[in-house]
Amino acid sequence: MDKRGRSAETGLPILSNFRAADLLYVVTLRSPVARGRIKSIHIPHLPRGYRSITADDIPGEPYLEVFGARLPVLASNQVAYQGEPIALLVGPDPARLREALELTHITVEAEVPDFNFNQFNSERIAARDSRQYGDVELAFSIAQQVVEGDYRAAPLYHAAQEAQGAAAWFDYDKLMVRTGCQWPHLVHRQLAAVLKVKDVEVVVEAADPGTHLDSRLWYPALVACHAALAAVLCGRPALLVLSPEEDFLYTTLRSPVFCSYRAALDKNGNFSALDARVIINTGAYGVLADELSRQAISAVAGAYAVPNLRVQTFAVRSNLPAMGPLAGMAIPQVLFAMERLANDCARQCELDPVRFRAANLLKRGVDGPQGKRKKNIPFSQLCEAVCQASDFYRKHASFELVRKRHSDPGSNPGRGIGLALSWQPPAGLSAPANVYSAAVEVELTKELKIIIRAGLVPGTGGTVAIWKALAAEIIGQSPDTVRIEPVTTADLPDSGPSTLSAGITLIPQLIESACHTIRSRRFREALPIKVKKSLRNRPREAVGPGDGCAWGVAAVELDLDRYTGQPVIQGIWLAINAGHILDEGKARRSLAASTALALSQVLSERIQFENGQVGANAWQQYRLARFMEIPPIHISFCGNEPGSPAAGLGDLPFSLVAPALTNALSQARDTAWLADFAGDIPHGGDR
Amino acid sequence: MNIQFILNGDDIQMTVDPADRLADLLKRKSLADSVHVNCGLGSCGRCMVICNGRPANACMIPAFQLRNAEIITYEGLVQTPEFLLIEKACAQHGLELCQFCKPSVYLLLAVLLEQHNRPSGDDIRQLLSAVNCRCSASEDIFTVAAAVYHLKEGRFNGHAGK
Amino acid sequence: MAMRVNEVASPKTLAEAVAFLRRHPQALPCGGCTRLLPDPAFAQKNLSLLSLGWIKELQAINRTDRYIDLGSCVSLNGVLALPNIPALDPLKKALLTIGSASIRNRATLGGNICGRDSFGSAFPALSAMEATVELRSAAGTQWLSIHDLVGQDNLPAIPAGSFLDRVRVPLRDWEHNCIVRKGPGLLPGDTNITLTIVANIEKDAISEIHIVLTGRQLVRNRALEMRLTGKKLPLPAKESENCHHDFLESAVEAGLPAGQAIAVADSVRAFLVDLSGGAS
Ligand SMILES: Cc1cc2nc3c(=O)[nH]c(=O)nc-3n(C[C@H](O)[C@H](O)[C@H](O)COP(=O)(O)OP(=O)(O)OC[C@H]3O[C@@H](n4cnc5c(N)ncnc54)[C@H](O)[C@@H]3O)c2cc1C
Ligand code: FES
Ligand code: FES
Repeated sequence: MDKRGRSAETGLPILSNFRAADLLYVVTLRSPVARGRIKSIHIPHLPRGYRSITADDIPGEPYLEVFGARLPVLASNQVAYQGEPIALLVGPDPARLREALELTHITVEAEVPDFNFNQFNSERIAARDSRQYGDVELAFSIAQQVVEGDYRAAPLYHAAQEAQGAAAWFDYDKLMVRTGCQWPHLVHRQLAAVLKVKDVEVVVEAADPGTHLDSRLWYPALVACHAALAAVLCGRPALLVLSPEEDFLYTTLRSPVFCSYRAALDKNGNFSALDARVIINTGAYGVLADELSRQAISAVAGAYAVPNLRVQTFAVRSNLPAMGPLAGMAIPQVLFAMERLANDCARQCELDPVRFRAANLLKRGVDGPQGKRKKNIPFSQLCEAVCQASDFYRKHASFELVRKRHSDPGSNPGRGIGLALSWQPPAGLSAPANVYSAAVEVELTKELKIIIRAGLVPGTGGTVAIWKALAAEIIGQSPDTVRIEPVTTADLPDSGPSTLSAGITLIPQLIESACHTIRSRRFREALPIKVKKSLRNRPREAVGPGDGCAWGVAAVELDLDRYTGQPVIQGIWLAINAGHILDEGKARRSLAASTALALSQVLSERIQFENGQVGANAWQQYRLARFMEIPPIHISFCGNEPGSPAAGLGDLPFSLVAPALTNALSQARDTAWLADFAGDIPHGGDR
Repeated sequence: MNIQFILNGDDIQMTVDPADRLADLLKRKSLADSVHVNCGLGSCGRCMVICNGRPANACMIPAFQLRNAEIITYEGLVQTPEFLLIEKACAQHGLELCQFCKPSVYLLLAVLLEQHNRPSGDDIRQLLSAVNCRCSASEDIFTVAAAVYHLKEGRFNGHAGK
Repeated sequence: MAMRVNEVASPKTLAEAVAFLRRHPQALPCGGCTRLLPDPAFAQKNLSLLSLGWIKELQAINRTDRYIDLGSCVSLNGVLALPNIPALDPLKKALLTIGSASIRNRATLGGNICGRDSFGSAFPALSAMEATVELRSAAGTQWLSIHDLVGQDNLPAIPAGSFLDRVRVPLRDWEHNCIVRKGPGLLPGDTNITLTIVANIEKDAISEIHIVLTGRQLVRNRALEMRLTGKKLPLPAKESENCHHDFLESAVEAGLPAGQAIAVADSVRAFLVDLSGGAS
């Protein structure tokens, strides 16, 4: 870290280390209820140098326009979730601001809030989508077996290393805004509109967003507006950093998803029809509703061939805080449901889960919801690797025997092993399909330094190391001569958003191409040479797993602790086919890290809800798994041949671990008990 | 109240509210930017300091308990030979920590180095689990911890840097 | 929300500490403050604190053939670092469930035992191991059973105007013991409960067994323990079921939610089944 708080690795500053002379702090006054009409705001008399800011003080648009939703910068009339920002208090001493906050009184005429999203009226639908082909009714009427299941994925918190916030200050004629975000240009656009200033008058600089898990696609725009309003209205630098509890309670959580599935199976145990209803709770305002329902529908049948399909998705508004994508645009939640269903179907047909999946897999040349596939899914290769390493067939068969023989309803069979199959599209799980662009500028200076300016925020030091090594190798210099410049909106055209794997998959492509250009011009032109490359709107394959996806299979084995009843993971095995892997060591480390994180999400990170909302003590009860709880993770790579196109792989564990683990759990616990539990992730949170 | 303590070898005197926490003091007064307040509950471990020779969460140390304490932060560690050993072990094993955790993890590794007896695998797991990393594989961190100790033994046996 | 401190004393001797308490009987003694600081119950309260960490006597550990005395300000890691004392097994297992290694460096045994509104996770182990405690006040010192720190309503009852000097743990091995933690809560209470069971077997019979559950309240069914003592092993399945039922009743009576009560009763039954198989 240098003196300005920038990391040597990523070049990105840490927001909370922001310092400036005459700095003002900003705290947020929030709605005490989840839904209602604001009657009055009583703010105590503030000493000199302090002020309050309400919606009336906003010079420009009082709304943010993000991902198809419009939400107030500060609520002035109606509130749509508990904790919604209503006013800001600004002043030089954070302790006095907190005291003032306690003395502030807001009266809101409360209305009955809507938390439930299984039942909703049409007014609450923010987006819907549907798909149908074949004759579903007929298929069900002649089905050999019908398997039904409800699968629920509860909200998750991103738990990034720093709470959200923003700093704003003046640099001559420009307002500078720093925030830990994935998309500086989106923040920039919102700021210009809210402050009513020209684009060139505001510069947004990315702070280190930490391991954000895509929780910072748009929320930073809100806090950036708050900090910027304070700076502009007071004429001094301003810093707003949410408290850890505020960050947990009021910023975006992963959308809860409820999937209700019904599958018709023929006499061979193959899917003859699928009837699915997917409901996504977007929280207040319905941010990303279209995107979430579109992406959910794309994953609804998993990797399976379903000749007759009927699916409906609904993205429903509620009076929870605005929810977000978090490590996959609802895809992991839907794949979780489908992989659970596949498991339930295999059990019903008395087939082993590998054979069931293999028989139902999408095949090359066959028409499916995804169109005609050019390639086969490398399932058998991946499955073989995982099953051999984990001794899956033997263990599954013997645990299944125990499960069937087990007759005492007061106890559990106790052991289980589960499997899951998943894919990752080229741009990562959570790239919004239609709003994607990336830009990079590489400069070779007179001093033979290589400078990379990327429009996307590098996720980690590891990503930066990959960029540096790549540029150095192509231009033929040492990685020490490469510098990554801070990401600001002043230097590069609109790029974004930076999603989990974009830094690994897209930016290297651009760096590579820019560096090749530099190499070819190097001895023909005078230094410095600057080359810009960009990539715009590469829409994702609209539906399901396309031919360019990375694929993964996971197995999880667990025991139930005899005394606590909690699952104890005995082993976790992953096999991955992501085409050519540039650095297998790094890929392995990245996968192991995401797997550990995914395990923590499934095993520990349950958020406690009370009366439909996050409970008063939920923050104290929220827990991440510690290192020592993570079992050894075995990873093998298949199809890693030079020449095969590289695909991103870091998100795969987010859609593999939850279903594999829950499938194992369904074997380890007796079925009667499963009835009211089966679909729910996360499973626990015991310390 | 007035307190006096030693921070990275320097005498510090300041007037504080007794309920202030060390993490906030270090941050607010720009004494140690490496200390991050992420949870404020003693859980995440990103505010790690060494207090009187032992790792401690700075968000759980009230100002009134700082009297005469000796605090070492990452800023202090950077100036020691142990830091170089740790850097080397991380580089050798390709461990890349984020800037929020690196100071805390390095301080824990430095504490391991101070131990007279070779720490057991379990000691290492317990100690390093004090930081809630979200981006590295636990095995990588444990491997580096063992490697750091190995490098130290090498140094004592005159093999440093080989 | 932050804690507010009006006044704080950090005496170096026991006499100074007692003198301060005499002047401020409502003052809260404190050790590492790792329980006080994250507890919302103390936020915004104006507290007078007596910080005990500077008093040498409270850091001492003394051992005889029959018992070990642990000063109230010995850190949890200080106890965990004691080598080769099998009798401390249940206590050490309980301590390892608390916080992280760095929290356990500051957290003290006294602070764990003397929570005001719930029992720390080490309390049931110490109770099951029949520890005694020495309290100090202006009136002098007195040794009490650790159960004297439990009030009529089974809630903690630390006498005001006094502080804990030391804890005496009998050096008796417990061949069979288990610690079960349940609930997601950071601090002990309704959502963070601990069950401790210790038992010994002689000549294929249970010679002694103690079963203690704590959270906000302490649950101990002495009649059940008496009934089990002397029982031949293996226990008939019916007996394990009866114990399950009896402990469940005690837990529900103490106000535990049904789900939690069933889960701990299940743990008791699993322990008894393992004991029968000699597998604990
Ligand atoms: C991340 C984290 C996780 C934790 N997990 C757990 C857990 O799982 N289980 C658990 O039990 N605790 C837990 N704690 C709380 C705490 O760390 C322990 O209970 C610890 O043992 C308390 O010791 P202390 O010295 O810090 O107590 P303090 O905070 O100093 O005091 C705690 C209470 O004891 C009183 N007290 C302290 N010393 C004395 C004394 N000598 N005489 C009389 N009264 C005294 C105080 O007045 C106060 O009411 C956790 C804390 C953190 C930060
Ligand atoms: S901020 Fe101190 S442990 Fe998290
Ligand atoms: S190193 Fe910081 S989260 Fe992993």
